[in-house]
Amino acid sequence: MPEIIISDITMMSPGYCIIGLEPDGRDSFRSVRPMPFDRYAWLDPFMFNRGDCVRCQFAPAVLRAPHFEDRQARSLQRTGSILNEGDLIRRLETAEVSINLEGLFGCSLESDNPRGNFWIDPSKGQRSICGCPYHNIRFRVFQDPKGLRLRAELVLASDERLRSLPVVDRAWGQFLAQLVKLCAEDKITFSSKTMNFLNRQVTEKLRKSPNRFARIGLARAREGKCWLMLDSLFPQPTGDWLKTLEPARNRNWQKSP
Amino acid sequence: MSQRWPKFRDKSRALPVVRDRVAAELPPGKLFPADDEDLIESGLIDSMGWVGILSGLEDITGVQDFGNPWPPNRPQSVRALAELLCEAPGEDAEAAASRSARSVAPGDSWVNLTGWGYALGRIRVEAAGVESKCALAPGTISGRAGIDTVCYAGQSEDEISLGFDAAEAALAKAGVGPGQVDVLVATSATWIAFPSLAARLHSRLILDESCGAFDVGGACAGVIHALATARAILLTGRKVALVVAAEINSRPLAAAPGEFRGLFGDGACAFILSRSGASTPGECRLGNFISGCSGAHASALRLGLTGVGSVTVEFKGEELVGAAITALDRVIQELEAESGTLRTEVDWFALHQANPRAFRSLANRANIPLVKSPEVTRYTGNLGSATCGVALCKALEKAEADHHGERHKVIFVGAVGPGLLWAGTYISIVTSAAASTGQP
Repeated sequence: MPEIIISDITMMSPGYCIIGLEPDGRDSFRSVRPMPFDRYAWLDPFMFNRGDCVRCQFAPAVLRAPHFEDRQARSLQRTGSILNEGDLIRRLETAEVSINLEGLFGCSLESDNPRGNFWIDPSKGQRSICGCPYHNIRFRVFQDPKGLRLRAELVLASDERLRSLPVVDRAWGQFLAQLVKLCAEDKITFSSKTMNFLNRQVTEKLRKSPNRFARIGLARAREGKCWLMLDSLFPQPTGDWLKTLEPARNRNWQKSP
Repeated sequence: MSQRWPKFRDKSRALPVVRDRVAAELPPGKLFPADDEDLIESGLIDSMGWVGILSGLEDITGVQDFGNPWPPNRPQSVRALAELLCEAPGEDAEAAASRSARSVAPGDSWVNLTGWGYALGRIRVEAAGVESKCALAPGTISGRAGIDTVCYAGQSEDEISLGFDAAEAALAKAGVGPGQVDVLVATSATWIAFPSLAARLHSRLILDESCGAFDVGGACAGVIHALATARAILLTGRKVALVVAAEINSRPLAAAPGEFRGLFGDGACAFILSRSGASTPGECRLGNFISGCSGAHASALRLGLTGVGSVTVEFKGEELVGAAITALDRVIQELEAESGTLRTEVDWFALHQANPRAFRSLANRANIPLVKSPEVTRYTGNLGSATCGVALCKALEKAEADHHGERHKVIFVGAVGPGLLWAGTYISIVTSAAASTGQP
């Protein structure tokens, strides 16, 4: 039974979409997207984490461009091996990688407005996932009916920018949820101070990390467009990062009336 | 970002603006919703479209982070968007304070240095190592030029990375976010590529797309040209400027004669300039600029940089040093007249230093106490445009630690560049006592 390393876990209603790495030659890997037989997403509770090595039996899936990585899979079984973040990134660096916008999906990126996210024509995309080292990142938080959602602006190694990427990375979604919960507990408005925390303390941790790597994925085609998403953002956030918020909580935050 | 919100304070003007943005994001074939209809819950607009609407309104109004996060218990409707557009000025105390400062009439305001920072190449080489590397006789760099160590960029460092680090430090010091910067002015004699250094830094720093970015020249005098340009722009009504000077001398000069390239190191500096209308203790007020060019010494240094391994150098060291000292002395004289402060009353000098020996000669001739002049090149080598900038950072650090007393503290800033270009400015640090008496 083939073995893969789970590299990406993204939020996809009603559960999670995953991508794994399978060997592609001696020293390199390629991405595959194991999916349950009847849907795209694995339902909650989903007990796996990034870096988990799993066995899964694949069956051919009906492939629709540009999601050529899709595979139908029965259950996922742990092998017991787990890669740490650094080792996972070393492998991701041997899989699909681009240092610029043009190389991400093998076609041009389109945009509907000068500050909006990019999309591609599904028929032109060569793949639906690609890794990239990045120089810098800035977060923004938007409201939608299910709550606050994180978006990011990412500066690639070429100094080209990916604007307004929805962050669908499960770990970052959980991090935002923790942040929102902290605000609620302290009756603190999710204000510009919180954005300062994200865009100063958190981005500084990212910029200083040797594991500065992102994976950009494509959403399923809708009305002739596949929108870009931030599938994985390394380093992954940890609960410890929120501790640096404490002084700000005590001193600066604006209390709700 | 400069605010353009006042023209939307009237809801009757805000509604058409919002409707236009919503129409642009509606999928084809969908009917335009009623003003009170929730765009998301009705399924008319998805989250991507919603972000597009907010971003578009942010572009039009100049209100930063418009609608982020969306106020709880408020429908995501056309009317609510228009109301938010009208309310924008009063919703956040911090934003209101910022807007209030922005509303100061350009004629009633001045420009302060509110943040600064520098970054040096991470490889530090002792003078003996430099002499060996440049095939120079022992003592050429240490004894003759007076340089102890030279900072060289590591393999992963360049003008952008050092400029970025310096800019980040300056932004943090000023407490300014990248989205607040209105204009970026960069200078570098060694960045010889397009996009320009300013454009690359703009992207790397994730500055707002409405923030301008351009480069100015002047080689070693470039940082003062950049400060002068940025200050002039702020006095036309903009609020925040970022100035960056960054030089990686070691790469383009790799093929230059050893006695020339051995003097140069790699580094960057950055400054945040903010327009202000209130006098507060510790503020570092940027004064007027003086500049000039004396062509008599144009041939003392001619440099043709055409990339790594290809450089033409015409360098008359003694003539250049002599001319530079004369020009810097003239800068100091003009700054005395411009600022009304005698050099003996100046608290710190942040001056270009071709090398420590030349700097000491200047200090001797111009009657400047070395103790008031932060030395840079002795520890880093000549950093080109960043030399004077790093000296200014160090002088500002000293000033920050000592802004008490009865009178303003003053820093003179001066530099020379090939040409022979010369430029200068002065900075007045407002003391507690001066602020309370409303001294300008």
